[in-house]
Amino acid sequence: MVTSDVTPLLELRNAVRAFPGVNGKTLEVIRDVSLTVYAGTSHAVLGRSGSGKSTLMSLLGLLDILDSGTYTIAGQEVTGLRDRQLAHLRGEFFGFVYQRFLLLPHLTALQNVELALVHGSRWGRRRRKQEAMAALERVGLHDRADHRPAQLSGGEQQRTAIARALACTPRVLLADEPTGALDETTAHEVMSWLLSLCSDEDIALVVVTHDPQVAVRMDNTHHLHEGRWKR
Amino acid sequence: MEALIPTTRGPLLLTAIQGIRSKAGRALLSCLSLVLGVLAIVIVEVASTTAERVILQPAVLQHGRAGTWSISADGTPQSLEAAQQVYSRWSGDAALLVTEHGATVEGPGDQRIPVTAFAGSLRSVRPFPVITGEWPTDRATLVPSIAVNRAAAQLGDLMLRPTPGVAPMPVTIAAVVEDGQETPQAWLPLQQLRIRAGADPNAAIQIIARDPGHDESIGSRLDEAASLCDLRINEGAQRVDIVETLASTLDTLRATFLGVGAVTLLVGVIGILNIGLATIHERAEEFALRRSLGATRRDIALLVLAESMMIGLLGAVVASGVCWGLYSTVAPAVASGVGTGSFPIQACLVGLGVGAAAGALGGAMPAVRASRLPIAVVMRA
Repeated sequence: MVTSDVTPLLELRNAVRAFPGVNGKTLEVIRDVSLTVYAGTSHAVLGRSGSGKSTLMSLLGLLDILDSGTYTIAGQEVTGLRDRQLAHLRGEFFGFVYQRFLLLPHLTALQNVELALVHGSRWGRRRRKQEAMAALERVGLHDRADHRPAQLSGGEQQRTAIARALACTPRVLLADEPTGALDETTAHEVMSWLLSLCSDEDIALVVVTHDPQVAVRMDNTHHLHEGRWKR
Repeated sequence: MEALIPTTRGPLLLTAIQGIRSKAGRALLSCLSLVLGVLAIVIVEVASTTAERVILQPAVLQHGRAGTWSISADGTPQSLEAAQQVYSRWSGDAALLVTEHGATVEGPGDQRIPVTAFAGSLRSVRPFPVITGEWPTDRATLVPSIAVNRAAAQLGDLMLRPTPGVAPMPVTIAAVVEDGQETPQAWLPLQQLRIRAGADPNAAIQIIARDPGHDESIGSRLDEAASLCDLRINEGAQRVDIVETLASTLDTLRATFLGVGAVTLLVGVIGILNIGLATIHERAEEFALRRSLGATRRDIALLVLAESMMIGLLGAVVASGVCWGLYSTVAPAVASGVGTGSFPIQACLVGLGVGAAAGALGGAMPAVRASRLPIAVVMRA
């Protein structure tokens, strides 16, 4: 999957996503939304609760599928791809960071990071461990590799989750309220670090947030209101 | 896009083990729910194999293979000649047995061992396994060659007294065989007896013959052959094998107990299914996370199935261990005096197969449910 400088990494056009509502009606959560993301750029998606931010994030990350509209990744149309192809794209192209970190409590920090390399990876166990350890080193947690999530602070847990997202060297980092569970100082540090990382490594960053302080630090800011871009 | 699809799906077993360890308590409950069912199946298999070893095999050795018939006559010289004609003209497997003649085999301390003189293809009808040596032949030898069973072989040096009042002579033990008897027995080729002793009118003659095709007309054919050769038989031909009757009884018992075991196993499968479904709900976030990291629906289904099958296998290992323990302690006490033999490992293999199958059966529905979890909905929850 080769991209030129002018080809956007992600290009969503007229996306619609609806869910069954009450009394047999359908509820359109995303309505006619378009978004173009280039490599090395950062985007904030702002909006109130229920505005469709997380649904948009799921659509961008191929965790959900469009009801109508088109979606191209690195110039290739992805609507209509089979589960196996979508799974492979998720594993290779995207890194996900969640507000609740979503670390598996029975695994160590290293094993949690290694999870990103387990599914669909051609690497052997030793190589996976090396790569996972390298990812932990990038977030400064190599000395906490053997700790379980319960033994890590909130900031450390989020850094572990970021290391997991970075382990597969993604082209796009999708973060859903990445600082929502952190105190102000730690949140600021995490965001600064994420932005510099994306800038240094030419990774596109899309952050869903309702924190304006986070949004102002991004290259692009988009407001969602009742499933549409707010002009 | 197709070229980017990976060819391997990651370390399934390692991930499954991690999954089991993360919910060790539930895995243990699932395992226990299967142990009883698998144990029932393994016990039935062990009992069935042991019964075959303890009951069926000796019956075959003592009475002959399935489809064996017999006629008997007194051991006069004329009868002996006629009987030899009957069995030698017989188209299938047949043997002539002469018992209660004057010959005896004697062991240390004046122990007397019954001797059966034989001619023909005895081991085709009664398939005595040879433990050591070679089955003796009719060929005339200076020192008579005999076959003895295990009990006789343990007595030490043996001597043959061809007729009462004659000095005993040394014998060569050509073979030690398993003849299904617990008491000492010796088997002597008839020709070797006849060159050392004449016919004994008090002896009993028996011709055993079988038809591999289980032809029921074999009895009348035996009677006709005896009549043609002028052999005066004591009564009409009798079917003497009991293998089919015993096997039928054992099969009925086995089927009954397997049925009970299957019901117990089914309860275990329902248990593992129930726990599996509850666990899927608890682990929804983990499965959604794995899918966001590149796992396919199939990967998730295989993972859940692998965990379930490993739990089933673990249950089978526990059940096999318990069964082995019971066999080692209970079987010798129950089957006192009868060699039950070594623990039938094949029953454990059946148990492992049943355990894995039960795990797969109980894990199938949770696997499908887990693979169909909507990732976006779970992640939002």
